[in-house]
Amino acid sequence: MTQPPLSDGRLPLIRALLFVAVALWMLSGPVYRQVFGGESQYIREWRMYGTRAVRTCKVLYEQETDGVWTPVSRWETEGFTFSTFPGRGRRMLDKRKDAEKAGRALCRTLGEDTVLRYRRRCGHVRRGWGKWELSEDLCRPEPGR
Amino acid sequence: MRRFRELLLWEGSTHSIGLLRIALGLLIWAEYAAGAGMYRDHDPVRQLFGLVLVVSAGLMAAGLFSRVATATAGLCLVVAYHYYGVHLGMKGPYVHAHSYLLMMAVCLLALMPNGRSLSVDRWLALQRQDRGRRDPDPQRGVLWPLALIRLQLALVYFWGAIDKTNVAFLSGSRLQQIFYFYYGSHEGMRIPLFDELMVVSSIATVLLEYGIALGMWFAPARKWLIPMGVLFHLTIYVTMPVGTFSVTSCVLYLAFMDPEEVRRWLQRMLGTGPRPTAPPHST
Repeated sequence: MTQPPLSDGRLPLIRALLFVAVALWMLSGPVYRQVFGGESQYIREWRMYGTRAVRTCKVLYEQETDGVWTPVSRWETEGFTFSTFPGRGRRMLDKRKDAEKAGRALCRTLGEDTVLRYRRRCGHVRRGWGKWELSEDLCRPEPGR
Repeated sequence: MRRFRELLLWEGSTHSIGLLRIALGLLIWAEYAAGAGMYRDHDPVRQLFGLVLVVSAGLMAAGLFSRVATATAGLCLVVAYHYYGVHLGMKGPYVHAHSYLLMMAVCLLALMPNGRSLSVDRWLALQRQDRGRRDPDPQRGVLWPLALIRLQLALVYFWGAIDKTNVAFLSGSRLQQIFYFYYGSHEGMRIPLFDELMVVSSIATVLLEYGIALGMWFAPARKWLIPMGVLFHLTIYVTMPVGTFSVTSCVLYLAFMDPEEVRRWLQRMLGTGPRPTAPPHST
């Protein structure tokens, strides 16, 4: 069923101005923030998850036996399970000193003569994973101790 | 210019904006009602603010004083985002992508006669008609702000995809990091082929976001993009903390649907419209 139009067909000027203003506001926000790097929070950018998990590091421990490096799972050695999911502070090792500390704890579990190192790489929001870095032997006593 | 003029004079069924009003009112409740409890904040101005927001959103959902309620809720959301959130620095509850999207959608909805369908306002108007007073407003109205809601949603996807078009995201590394952070450990995820799955998911995400941003404007593509978008949002809703963003985006897909089609569908579902005649059985 065709219904008669509600308006008289003339261009509504206020409506046109409002439409253009709102559309320009919407279009200019992400250009200002994401292209020109503007920082005003009053204007919205559309970046999702740009601030979550931004310094996540992958850390893998390896033990040397007769010149061969084999993986050591801290998850299994420490008895972590999914039903007793450890807190983020224990699960993740995003700082170098945390990776070293966790490595030394592994040394104590694995025994005095263990040779252990970590292989570590960290994520970047724009560049992705960084290069792998290798530690020294984490079980060697620290100088001065 | 002729297309622009036609857009500004666009009139159509108000059923789809009625549905949008109900859904967005409920979404405001889902997002803010728990935090707006008067016991949460003892500042009388903020208590009043929370009360006005929650009441106006409730009226919006019910469709009572629909347009005033929607305008009030929209104004509250602007104050929440820009004044409390950005100006006063209370970013936690207010400054998010999903809260901005909700704010824009509600403000634009307030520019349309959203109470003419599926509302208490409509029911009251029919009551008045029964008592012989005046006829209710037609369930039609100007719909040009729907085009701005479409534009806003398309921009969210487009710039979201632009932001993800980089080595970090397309190589799967960002998704890997996010999943390690929420579900795994420094050793990664203990699931076979997980890292490879994240590469595929990352590329598919970016393609889908560009697809929705550009393809939703074309009716044939919408048939495919809407179910894919809903599935995509359901997936991120159950796997990551995204607040009401997923549901808001899915609700705003309604803005892309032809209002007359939504009306016909609703009438058919409610048994109030003409039923299409079934083709005769061949014998």
